[in-house]
Amino acid sequence: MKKILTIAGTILFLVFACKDKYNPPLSGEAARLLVVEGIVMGGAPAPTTIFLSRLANFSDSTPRPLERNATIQLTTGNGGNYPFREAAPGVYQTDTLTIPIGTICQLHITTADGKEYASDEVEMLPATNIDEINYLRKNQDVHFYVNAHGEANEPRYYFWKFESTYEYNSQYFLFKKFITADCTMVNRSTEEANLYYRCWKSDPQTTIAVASSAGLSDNVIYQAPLHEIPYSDIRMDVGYSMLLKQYAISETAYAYWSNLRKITEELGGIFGPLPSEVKGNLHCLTNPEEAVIGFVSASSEKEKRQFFYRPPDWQYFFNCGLPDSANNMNTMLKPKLYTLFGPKGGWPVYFNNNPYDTPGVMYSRMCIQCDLRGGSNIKPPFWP
Amino acid sequence: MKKLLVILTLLVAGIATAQDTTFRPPVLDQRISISLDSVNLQTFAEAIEKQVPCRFYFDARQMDSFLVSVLIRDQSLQYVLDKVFDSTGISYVADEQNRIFLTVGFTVSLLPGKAPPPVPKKSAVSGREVFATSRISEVGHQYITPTRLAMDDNKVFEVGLKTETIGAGLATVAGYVRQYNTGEGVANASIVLEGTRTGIMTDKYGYYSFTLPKGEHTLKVSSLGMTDARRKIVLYGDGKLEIRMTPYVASLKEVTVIGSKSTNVKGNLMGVQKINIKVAKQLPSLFGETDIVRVMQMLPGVTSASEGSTGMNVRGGSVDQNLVLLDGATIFNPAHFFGFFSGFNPDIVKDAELYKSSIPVKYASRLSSVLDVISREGNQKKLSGSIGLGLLNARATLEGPLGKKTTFIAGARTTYSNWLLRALNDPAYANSSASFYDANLGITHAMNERNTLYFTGYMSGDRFRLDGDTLYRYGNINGVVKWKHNFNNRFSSLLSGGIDSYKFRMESDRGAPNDFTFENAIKQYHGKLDLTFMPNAKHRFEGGLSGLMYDLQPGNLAPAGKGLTIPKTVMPEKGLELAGYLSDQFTITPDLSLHAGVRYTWYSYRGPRDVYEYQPGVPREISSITDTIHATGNIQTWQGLEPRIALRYMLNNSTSFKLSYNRTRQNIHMMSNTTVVSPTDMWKLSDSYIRPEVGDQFSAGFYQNFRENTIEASVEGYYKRIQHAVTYKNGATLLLNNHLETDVANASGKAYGVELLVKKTAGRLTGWVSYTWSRTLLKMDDPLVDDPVNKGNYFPADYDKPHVVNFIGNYRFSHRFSISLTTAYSTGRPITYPVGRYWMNGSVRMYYSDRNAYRVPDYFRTDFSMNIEGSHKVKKLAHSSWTIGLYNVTARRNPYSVYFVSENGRVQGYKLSIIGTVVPYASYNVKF
Repeated sequence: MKKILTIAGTILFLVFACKDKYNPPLSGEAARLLVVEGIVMGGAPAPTTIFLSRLANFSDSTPRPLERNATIQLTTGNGGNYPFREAAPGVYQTDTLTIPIGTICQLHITTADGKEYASDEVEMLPATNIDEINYLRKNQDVHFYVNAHGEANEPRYYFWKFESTYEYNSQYFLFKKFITADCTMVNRSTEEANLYYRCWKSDPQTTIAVASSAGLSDNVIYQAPLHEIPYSDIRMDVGYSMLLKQYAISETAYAYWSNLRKITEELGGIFGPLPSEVKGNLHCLTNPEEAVIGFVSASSEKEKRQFFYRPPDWQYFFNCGLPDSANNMNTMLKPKLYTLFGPKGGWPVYFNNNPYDTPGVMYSRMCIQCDLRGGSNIKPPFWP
Repeated sequence: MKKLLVILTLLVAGIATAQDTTFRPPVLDQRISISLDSVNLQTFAEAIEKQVPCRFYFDARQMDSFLVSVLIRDQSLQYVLDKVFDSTGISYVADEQNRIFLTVGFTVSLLPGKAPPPVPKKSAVSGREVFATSRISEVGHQYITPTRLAMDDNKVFEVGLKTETIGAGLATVAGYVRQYNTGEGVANASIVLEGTRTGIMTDKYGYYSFTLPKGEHTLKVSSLGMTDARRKIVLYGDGKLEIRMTPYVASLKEVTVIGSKSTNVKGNLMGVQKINIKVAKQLPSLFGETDIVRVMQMLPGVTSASEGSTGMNVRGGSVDQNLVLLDGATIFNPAHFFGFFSGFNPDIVKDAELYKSSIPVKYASRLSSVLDVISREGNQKKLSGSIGLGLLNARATLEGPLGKKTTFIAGARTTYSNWLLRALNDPAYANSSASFYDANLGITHAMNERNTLYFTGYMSGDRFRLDGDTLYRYGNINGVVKWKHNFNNRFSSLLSGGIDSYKFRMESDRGAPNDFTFENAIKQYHGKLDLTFMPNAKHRFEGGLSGLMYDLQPGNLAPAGKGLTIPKTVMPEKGLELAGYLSDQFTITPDLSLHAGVRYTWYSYRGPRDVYEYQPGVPREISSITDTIHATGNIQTWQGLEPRIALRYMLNNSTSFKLSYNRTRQNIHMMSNTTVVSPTDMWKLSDSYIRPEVGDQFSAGFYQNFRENTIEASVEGYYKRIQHAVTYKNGATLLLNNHLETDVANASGKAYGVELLVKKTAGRLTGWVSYTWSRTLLKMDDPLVDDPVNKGNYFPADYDKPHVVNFIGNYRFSHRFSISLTTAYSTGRPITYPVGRYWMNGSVRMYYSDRNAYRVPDYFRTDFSMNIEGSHKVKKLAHSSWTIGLYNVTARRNPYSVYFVSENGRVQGYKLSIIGTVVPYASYNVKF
């Protein structure tokens, strides 16, 4: 129902409207506000990780300004006091703790410049179960969603984090291998060929995924959107694995995240909302006027991994080049083979990646060695 | 020249002096300078008579469709007359006594025994390079001169009981000014006592009442689109006089008179703009559908937040601060099709009047303006109708008499716009649909001379669905009955009552647990008594009482199908608004007049309803609720006086200076946190926490007409203060919120500006150019908001556009062909840009700070249209016309908004244009 405004405008939009990329010159100066991100983990033994960074000027293209050398304490309602250590620049972590559900938690932060910050007191909430992770096809695009449910008395505001991994392949499989020593062409083992052919890359979450069942008589979440992949994208070309983590959040946290999603991911449209900031639950104690960005929640975690095969109609093209024909590769004389496939030559491939098709020589490494395209050729342990 | 009635033969017979054959009357050698644009012969003759001691004699009946445009400096009278009458079929002859006789179709000789010169031929080519043009040659066969009418101009009417001697003292002449061919009342016609500046205007129904000293008078009657009429009367006592006027060129929709004649100078009120539908029909329009509201948006002081919006921002007011009336019925959502069309059928609408400064006290409470749309009355003479076909929609109208005393007019519009969505090669739109309709019915029943009943009914509906998902529907239903009763010539009343309602509904039924239906509705019952009393020519009192009952259903959520949605109903709201008002239009001297009025409004917010109480002095939040009281009856009362004063001083016949002060109060507010009005926006009544908005406007203006009132120029400046405007806290929830006071905040605003307007109302070229400089600033100064927008400082409103230049022009090549051009420029609207960026949840995100600190690039658009009429044979069964045009000729991608989104972890800026291309259109209209 929240989408009504954008939807209403969208129809006429595409008829006569135009959307052009546009980056106006902006010179606004932003205060270097503290940005806090993280969920206090509980319910089961787990460390808590908090990320600290700073707000940068919008026009600056600086990398993420990490906040280093801060001191963070987690205090709990039952008198617990747990320090964080800086595990990496701007990344602060506790030891493995077991904070029971229902515990009141609060973060205290002292930054290197001596300013003190604190979060509101938040209750450790129990995450409910994930029922199903699946996708819908809308105009051929893939829209991942999650179904979940809880008991009526369990929290009704849901927050998800996910880490996805997808497989992609080289354009050509190396069935053959040229042995320079004796100028022969031999079959290459599948394991070895796969090191060139199969790669995995992670698809990090860039969206905010929250949903609420507060308006429903049952505590059910039906097809809450997580993530979209446009048609013919590489990510669904071979296989896709999503590890989804579900958390419970409070009503105010839900309001914070859904507003942040609205003003940073869903602007635009004729009836689009006006951007307005909603305050998080952190405060600067030293200077109450200073705003702090972020919302700290406390929740247990439920996770589920789901694997998706390539949808049958998915078409992805990575056109790195065509091989030259090496029609008589099998009957070729050694010097010719050496010229074509030797140290200064190319790679033996088949047209259409079909060993019964015409052999060819491929000179572009990008076409045969997938890890050059950013992924890793080591198969993740969870991959089926 | 007041003696033009001429029976030429008699006159000719009386001229018998023997003359030398070479005689040339000396009067023709006198040198004159003359500059006129499309004036009738009468005016032309008067203009000459002012410079030369001569007198014109002609038969007005024969020549009243002859229009003169002339620009000649320091030439002899003969030269002027030759030029003007060349090839027109009119000949002239002058005598020694400085009399000039004009004849058509025959010539006279003033010399006995001498044959008259040959009858001049009408030219086949009309309006060559000559300064003067004649209509006679073009329209000859179809121009209907209602003989009786022209006779009326010369006849002497006796008003009141005839007595031997005319007594002393005053008497009142009253009656209707009607259109000759349809019998419809002519609204806002001006009736001026010839030779003076004393005058009055007819009301909406064409009724007038004029108190004058007893005796002989000549009344000059003029109105938009009508041929000027004059009536000679001998006023013996109170009496009736019905005045019939003919449209400029009968049955042609082509006459171009923009704005009322000279009312800008002589009218008492400030900031009043009237647009006739005929003007609007010539102008380019989006998708070819004439839209009177969009023409209003081209007036100075009126802006719109977006191209795809019929919402108006008048002198810095928000859209909900305009009262939109259709024959007295409040139209809550006057927009179709996401705001691309207004809800007013151009074949039903007669004209629309916008009050942006002086708002008459009889109009109910809105802060910024009143848009009064008046529909036509049905044809009294015969059954007729029209059909219009455009690219997206079609409309049909039928009107005519029902018996002797009753007329009706009915019209309907509907869309076939779905083809547009289908035509898009995007599967997302194949399952989408969008359509609308509206229907109007007007009935006028003239019971007798003193009593007339009017009924207006209006209904509209919109429905749209995107990608087979949620279905949205909304619509208005309005009905209003009015009874006009004239007690006597000086005292009349109008009693009216009606119901206005608006309903919005959306439903999602996909077989999912979150399926729902959502509805909101507003209903209003209104009754009103307006009285007009004109004791004498110096005073015109208007007074009245009005009652308004609001009944709002702000929101109702329910499950649909298998849905598990928990039903939620926002408590209904009720309000009662009673008002009394009185005003006097006091003509202190013919030059100085004062329009002073006051309106008193008493408003009560009524139960039964739960009322939340909050800890005093802390921000209102759910956490600060201390108690919930179930209240019945009166919960909160707000009341106040609204003085409205306008002063006019005429420096001379064509120049005036005006001052005005206006206070307005508004008890009903639209809750919307989007830039443009969307159908989901709902209304909220003032309650214990949300106070009535109060506006005060001071304005001053200088008005000057040139060239026989055909060019009107004005400068108006204003300063407006707005108190208790409704604004929203950051992250406000407006839907399904039982305690909106926790999400809204009071704000105050100021708006000021200067508006320049030059309008040409007659001639081949008509139109206007306007320039407006204005600012609108708001400030969230509610002490109960701990984090106000822009830290409580002033920030520009969403529709603050400092510089606006508009041009509207129509050039008529012939009666059958004209072209129009409109051009609009404005400063880009303010927008909130991010100031910072930070990383959160895997993506760079934007941080916003000061609201509306930046502006989108400037707006510029040009539209062009051609209007082609079929032949104008009177006996033709049907008259058809074509309009072909281009919207946004330059295809400029005017940005509606610039926004930033986090996409795949990065921030990308976009510029969005609503109409980013040329939109061609054609529409076909036929009248029968």
